[in-house]
Amino acid sequence: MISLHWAAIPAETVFEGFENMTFNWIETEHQGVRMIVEPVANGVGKVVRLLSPNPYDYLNASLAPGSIVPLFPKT
Amino acid sequence: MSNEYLMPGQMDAPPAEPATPETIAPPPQAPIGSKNTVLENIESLGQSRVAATEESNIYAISIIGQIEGHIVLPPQNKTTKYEHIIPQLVAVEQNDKIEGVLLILNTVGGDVEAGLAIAEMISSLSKPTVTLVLGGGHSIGVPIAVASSYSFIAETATMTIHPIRLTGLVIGVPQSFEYLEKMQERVIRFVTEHSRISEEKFRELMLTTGELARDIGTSVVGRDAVAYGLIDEIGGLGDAMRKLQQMIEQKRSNNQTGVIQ
Repeated sequence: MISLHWAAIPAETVFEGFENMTFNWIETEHQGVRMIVEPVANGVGKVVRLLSPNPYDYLNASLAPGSIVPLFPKT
Repeated sequence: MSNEYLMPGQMDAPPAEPATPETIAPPPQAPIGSKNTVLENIESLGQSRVAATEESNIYAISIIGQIEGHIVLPPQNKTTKYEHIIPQLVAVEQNDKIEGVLLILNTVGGDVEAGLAIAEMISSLSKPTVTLVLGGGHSIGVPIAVASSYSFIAETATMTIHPIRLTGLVIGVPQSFEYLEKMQERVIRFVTEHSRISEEKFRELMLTTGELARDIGTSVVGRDAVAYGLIDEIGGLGDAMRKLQQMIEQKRSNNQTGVIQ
């Protein structure tokens, strides 16, 4: 994977802590939409990104990345 | 489609009746699956936030912070994720109720390929688009700013134009100078094809020395961006909205008279 980053602020500021980033992401479904979520507290997670093929799901502000959604334990 | 989350009658639906032998076999309510759990989710979370489906014919997208592409940036960065913007633009193109798009930019730059992808999507939308640069539209924000049908910049906003081959940071496989040079050419070509600025002027701004403290290049302020032909007009929110509505009216009347653009 190649990514070319080009910004008006110094790369050392942008990428500070990059090496030590850890991800605790899970895949879940909320409102019928599959999504990647980062658990932030007991039973709730923050949307990382949607996995839906339906473009209208991306217009739903309550599912935008950063939104808080409920998480349920697997049954 | 989002209306199904909003049925007021169902919010007050009483809990299912205690099971009696007769009602066990067929479930009492048909779509138990998604709809009811959704309502429960909302209730248990205390959130009633649902997609705003107001009758606005304009869709507004703000592109702020860093443009995040192939790599997730550390949490000190505020980012706009391109994988969320792209399907939004698809939905905008497909939805007949949306007649125009307003993009508000205040970005420091970010992933070159993600930025170019957003810029290409905007420029190929069949609906009128207006960009408004507020604060800053730097680096890879420049092609996004010029991608629309008509662009505005606030008088106080700036755009940093500087060379990728010196300031770009490649993450992943080490890349050659030629690779960076090629990426820079892609950006220059896009900007000069989608604005009135000449290639010579853009290259000149990009390679100016002494203007930026840490870098070569130029910080172009509002009026200069218009004078160089990079941006169409100085303006704010009201101007941008007025222009967008005007273009929407124009498109409507063209459609009515059967004129094909």
